[in-house]
Amino acid sequence: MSDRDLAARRLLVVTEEELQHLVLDIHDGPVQNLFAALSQLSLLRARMAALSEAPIECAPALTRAIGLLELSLNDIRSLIGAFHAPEFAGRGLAEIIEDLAVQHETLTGGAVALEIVNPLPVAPLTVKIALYRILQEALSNIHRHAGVNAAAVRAWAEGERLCLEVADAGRGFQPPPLSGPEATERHEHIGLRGMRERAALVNGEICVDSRPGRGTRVRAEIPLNG
Amino acid sequence: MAEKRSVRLVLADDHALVLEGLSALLAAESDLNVVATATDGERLLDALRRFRPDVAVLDLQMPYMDGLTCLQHLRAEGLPVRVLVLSAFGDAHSLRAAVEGGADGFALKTDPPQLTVTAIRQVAAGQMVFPQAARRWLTPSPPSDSDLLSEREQAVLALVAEGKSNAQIAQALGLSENTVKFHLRNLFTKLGVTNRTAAAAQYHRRS
Repeated sequence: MSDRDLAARRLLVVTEEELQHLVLDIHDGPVQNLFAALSQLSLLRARMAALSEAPIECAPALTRAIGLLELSLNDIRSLIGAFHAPEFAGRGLAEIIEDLAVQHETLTGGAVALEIVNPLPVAPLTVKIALYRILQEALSNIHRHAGVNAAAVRAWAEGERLCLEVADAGRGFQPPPLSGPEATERHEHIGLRGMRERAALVNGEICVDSRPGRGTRVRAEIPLNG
Repeated sequence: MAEKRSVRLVLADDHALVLEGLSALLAAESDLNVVATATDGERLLDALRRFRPDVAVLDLQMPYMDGLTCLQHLRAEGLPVRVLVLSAFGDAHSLRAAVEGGADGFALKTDPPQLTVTAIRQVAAGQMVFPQAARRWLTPSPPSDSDLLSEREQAVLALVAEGKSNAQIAQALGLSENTVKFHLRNLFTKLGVTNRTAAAAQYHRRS
């Protein structure tokens, strides 16, 4: 492995650690305070409602403030909470994938049909991180763009490669080229590019198979030794 | 008129503001009574031993002893308390750990606090309160002799799952409390569990 490859991989792990610090700090600070503030405001609202001569002109402002704080917590959960990654070290790939599927169902109310086709071998940390983030992006794309809330996830080992396939029967799209001179650098393809680059960091590949009206199938293949 | 007994609670969280806010909110609920608060796991265990509350609400991240270790201890000691985990994170790993650790419910700090209050009441009433997606973990591999429970044991298990105490079960089935304990011990062994919560979880899975 070249020095450049090694550096790229170290960067992957460091970036992941920094992201986790950020996510933890937000949950240890603002989330706790927002929850505490909401508790107090909810109490205040209940007390006001119980007054015989409630100052009615205050109620809408209070309700609005409560609504805004609830919205902030909800935003934190969907924007940042999803990036709270599991302990990658010491946990198997199958368990990590299953947890992510459940997490997605919990956050979105969607359904993920998960099939681990054969026992997955022990994978290096970098490969686990790459597959986790690729699956997360693929599921998130289905939730945001496909217009359906069901996804099918398959994972299997094939020789010295790990394969992951995420499919939906949603509205589909015309996938841009992800490699070669025509490869997309367009802003709206940032998620697809992210998946491509995460795969490339561990010498893997992403293939997106989709057509308008025909659903989408994302397939990642990563060499086991990264 | 006989007043409905209020639910006795202990709250544990290392964020003082959360304890303060939630305590204040709960103080306004006439059927819920916070008897103690704790800012770490060790103090929570002390409070549980001392006050014998109906429900403990605990955060997973706490100093000295985290929520999960605390859960293990209180289940191992057989403290008869229902446990609602209250976490800032709804990630699957935390959920799974809570389910497998024998918690009765899971509430999120990113949801409105009123939902926590609702979850406390549900847990106090003997319900298991988890997101639909996490319920798969309530159903670990079934024990092979699960069908071998006697009719009496099945009746006891059904009442345990409703959150009934030994005394209530004894009364309902016309047995002595000692006989109920005897049946409980046998059905715990048959189900491969060590506490009522885990037995109730198995019951909900089988039914």
